[in-house]
Amino acid sequence: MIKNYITVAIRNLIKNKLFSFINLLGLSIGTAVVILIMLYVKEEWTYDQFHTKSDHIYRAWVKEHFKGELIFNSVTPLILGDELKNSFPEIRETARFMNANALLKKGAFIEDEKVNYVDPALLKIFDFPLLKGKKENVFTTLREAVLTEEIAEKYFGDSAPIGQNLSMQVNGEWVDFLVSGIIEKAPGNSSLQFQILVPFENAFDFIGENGRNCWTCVYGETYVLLDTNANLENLKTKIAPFIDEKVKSSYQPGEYIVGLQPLTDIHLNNAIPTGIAVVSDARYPYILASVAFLILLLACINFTILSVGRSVNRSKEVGIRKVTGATKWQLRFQFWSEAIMMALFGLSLGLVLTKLLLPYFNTIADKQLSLDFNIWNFSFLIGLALITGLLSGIYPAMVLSGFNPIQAIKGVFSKIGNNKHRVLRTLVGFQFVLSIFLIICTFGMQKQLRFLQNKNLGFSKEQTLIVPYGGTGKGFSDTWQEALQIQERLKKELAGKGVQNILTSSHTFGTQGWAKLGYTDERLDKFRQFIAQQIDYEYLDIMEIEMKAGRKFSKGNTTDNKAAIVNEAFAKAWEINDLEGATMPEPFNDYKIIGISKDFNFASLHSSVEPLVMVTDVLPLMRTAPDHNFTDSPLPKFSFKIKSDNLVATIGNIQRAWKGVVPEETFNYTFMDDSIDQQYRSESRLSEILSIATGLAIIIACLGLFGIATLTISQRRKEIGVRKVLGASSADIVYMLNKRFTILIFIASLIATPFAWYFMNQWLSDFAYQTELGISVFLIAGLLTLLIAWLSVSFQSIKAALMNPVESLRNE
Amino acid sequence: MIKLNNIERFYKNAAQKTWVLKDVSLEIEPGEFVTIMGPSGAGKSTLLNIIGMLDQPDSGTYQFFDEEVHRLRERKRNDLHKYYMGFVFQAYYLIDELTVYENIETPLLYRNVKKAERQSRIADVLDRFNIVAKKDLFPHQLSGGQQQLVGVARAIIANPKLLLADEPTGNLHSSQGEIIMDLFKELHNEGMTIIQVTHNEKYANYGTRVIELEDGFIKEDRRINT
Repeated sequence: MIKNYITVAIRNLIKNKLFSFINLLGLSIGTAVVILIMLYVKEEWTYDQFHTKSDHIYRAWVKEHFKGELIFNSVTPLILGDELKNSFPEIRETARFMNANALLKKGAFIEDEKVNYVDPALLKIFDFPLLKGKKENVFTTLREAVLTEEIAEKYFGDSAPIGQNLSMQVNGEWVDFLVSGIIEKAPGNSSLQFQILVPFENAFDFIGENGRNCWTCVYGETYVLLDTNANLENLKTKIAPFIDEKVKSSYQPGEYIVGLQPLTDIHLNNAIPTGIAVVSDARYPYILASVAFLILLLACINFTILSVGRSVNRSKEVGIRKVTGATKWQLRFQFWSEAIMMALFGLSLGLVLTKLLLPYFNTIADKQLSLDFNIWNFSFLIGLALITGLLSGIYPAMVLSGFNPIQAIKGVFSKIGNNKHRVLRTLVGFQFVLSIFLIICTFGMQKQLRFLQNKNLGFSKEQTLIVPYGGTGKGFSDTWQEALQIQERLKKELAGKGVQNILTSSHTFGTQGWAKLGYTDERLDKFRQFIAQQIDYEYLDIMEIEMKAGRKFSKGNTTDNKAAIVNEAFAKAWEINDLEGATMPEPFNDYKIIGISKDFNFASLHSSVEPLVMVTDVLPLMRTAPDHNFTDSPLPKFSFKIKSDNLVATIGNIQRAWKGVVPEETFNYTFMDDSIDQQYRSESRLSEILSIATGLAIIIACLGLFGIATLTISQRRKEIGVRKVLGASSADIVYMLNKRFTILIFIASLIATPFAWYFMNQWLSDFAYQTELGISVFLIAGLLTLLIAWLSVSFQSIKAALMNPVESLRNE
Repeated sequence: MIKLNNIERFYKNAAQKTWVLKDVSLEIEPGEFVTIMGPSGAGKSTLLNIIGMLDQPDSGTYQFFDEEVHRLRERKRNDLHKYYMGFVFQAYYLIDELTVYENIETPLLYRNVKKAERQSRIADVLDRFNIVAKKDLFPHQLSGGQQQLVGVARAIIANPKLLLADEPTGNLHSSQGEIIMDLFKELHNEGMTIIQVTHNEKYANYGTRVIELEDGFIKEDRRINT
């Protein structure tokens, strides 16, 4: 029986090449999109689940209520882990994990690398397999290191790395680390990423005695492994009083809370602040999955539309089969199996497409996804084909099987009746609603991203090369002194070589990292924070930052080392209206405020401008402030302002000058505008994926439209012939045939607009600065759809209009 | 075998009823070869479809063997249709995408006949109708007469008790028509009950009884002596 169905299905496929092509193309594109997005979503949803103990691993967080200010961190005090482990038997292991950059040296080769400071228990908690070395004895002494293969190869080439030494700069001295193990690189769906692991105690080289035992200083993340039968709720209620007791000297009970976040929750939970692990927007997988299924749905609708359109031709077969004894369910089964077969064909082609598109998709999505054939993927794919088939087959299966055999056989349905017209129009209309919705969203997102790129940030970001200066590890003050001297020497070296100026600052625009200083305002009894930034005398001028009141720093003025320039946001929050005699608030009141700059967006446009204080020497400010929050080191960074048409040559010049002046420092540059764009990477990634999805959706919808135009026009041949004989011009005919689709698209636009508007507003609400969506986005989306639809329909309608009426009337 | 009582069939328009069949009562015994004749629109095909259970009367009763057809559920009616009847159409109505062999096979598939049995039965019927050589051809590769042979083969392959034929020779040349009629005669002689609709007086004489319909009434019901 099945064989009979398949035979008929395949012969039908071959007979109706155009429709088979449209169906197959649509289904394979839809399937490929779903597979790609499925891989993406699956990785996002299974983050960190590959550890065998993942259900029992937690990351600790601390929440402090301090004088009206809430400080919430997923990086924790260094003593937390040990304290917890020693006091609660259900905590099996704890391990700290911290990031820092350090200079590494092998022979003459020096480079700045990310180094992770970890407790040996980390390897017991997580399943990061060692390729060489044993978990128990890789960290037996302080100066040992475990490397990934990649790093091992970078520094040791082909020679065996185990037992060799790698030098790391510690407080300005080169210290040898013995390579004791090689570890497998963490997979793409791991929150913990690393390349060089060293025992945590190495961090004590730069974290003083106070920091190690302090409950208010936070550094690395703390991971906790619980017993398999531990009761989390019970543990939480025991931790609270324990912590209250530990911090009772500075906090009331309940003001300092330690919590545990499940490991598998880290990646998609935005409610807990980002620590070291990368956090994604949990909504994006849902958005992408919905888009993928919508595209597949479009392909299913195409299948349905073409089936309905062609039910005329199939109705005779249905009638015959009924007369020869087929039951309704046998016919349903036949049409469904046909649709599923089609879906399976689509799946096979879709897999080929996926294979071709995967590298490209990985680039856009910034992932390393691969399509492996495991049981999970296999069942997903088969399930996908089944659902696609069932969905596409619903209409033919339910409607065709219900035909009265005699009417069916005689082709009483030989014209697409009014009723069926309504179904078809609804389906085609639905496709356009989806397409227009996607087009509006794509346009809207692109408009916002353009807006972000073109927005006047209040400083000049173009042609600015940023090079961080690590220094020789002599301490903050000395490093800055060095940096200022280097700045002068570089200026001399690069005079007339395409560099307009060189600036130094503690932070630069486009990096997420800033130094936030906090203090308790005694007068208001309130904890307050501001961002502090060290700049040089020329900084504001060269970066073209405008002043609102007062003056900029001037080199000639000796008192300017105790002067501050604040931004408007600061002036407003601290109510500085008059610069006459204005000083920084207590305890920083030895700083005079000499100017107020206009607000400029030094951080991402997701947030509005925060209070900022700019000084020429930030160290006294930091020393005075009781609370520090560094998201990036305040070590000096050089900004090279380039004024040349030949960027490449100028970068070459800078690099040579750098080598001459500071040969021991790596020349690691980024462009300021690139870094600024990086802040919107997840949004631009979504926008890019969505544009492609939209393109595909339009292709599928237009294929369907083309198919349906072909069908209706072939069924209206006679009518067209009669009209022509009666004197209709070709233009009249084209107008008549295209009018319907035009109205349909107009209605579809009306329906899609409010949904798209709502969705876009939701998306835009993540930004403190939003573009106006404007009517034009909606208009252009509608017009574009109309244009594309006209193109796909007109091919057929013009052909029909130019037809010789005698031809079309002859077969009567 | 068939007992129709006061069968009526009509179409309702906004204001008026149009009768297709009115007050038709009829009894047909096993082994009869009945020809239904009459002008276009007399209700011949409708009557045939009602007997074949492809259409339902608006009123009246229909007894097929012991079954009260008009009281049956659709499913049961379909079963009766499936196991007792074979249909032949004027326009053959073969499935275009299937070969001769596959077309004949279709009814057996719906009756869950095993493969070996299907093969032998189809081989027999191909042989008997002299179309063995055509078995792998598609309908459009055959002449009208050959297509109708396939149509008849398909109708009888499942051994129905009743063969219904709606103008089986209507689209055929006379020589081809005679071949089909001879075949019917042969089937009748083997015991098959046949009801055919035709316009052709000559072909009516192949049967044992003629029912003349006019405007939905039975105008005449006569037996032919052979």
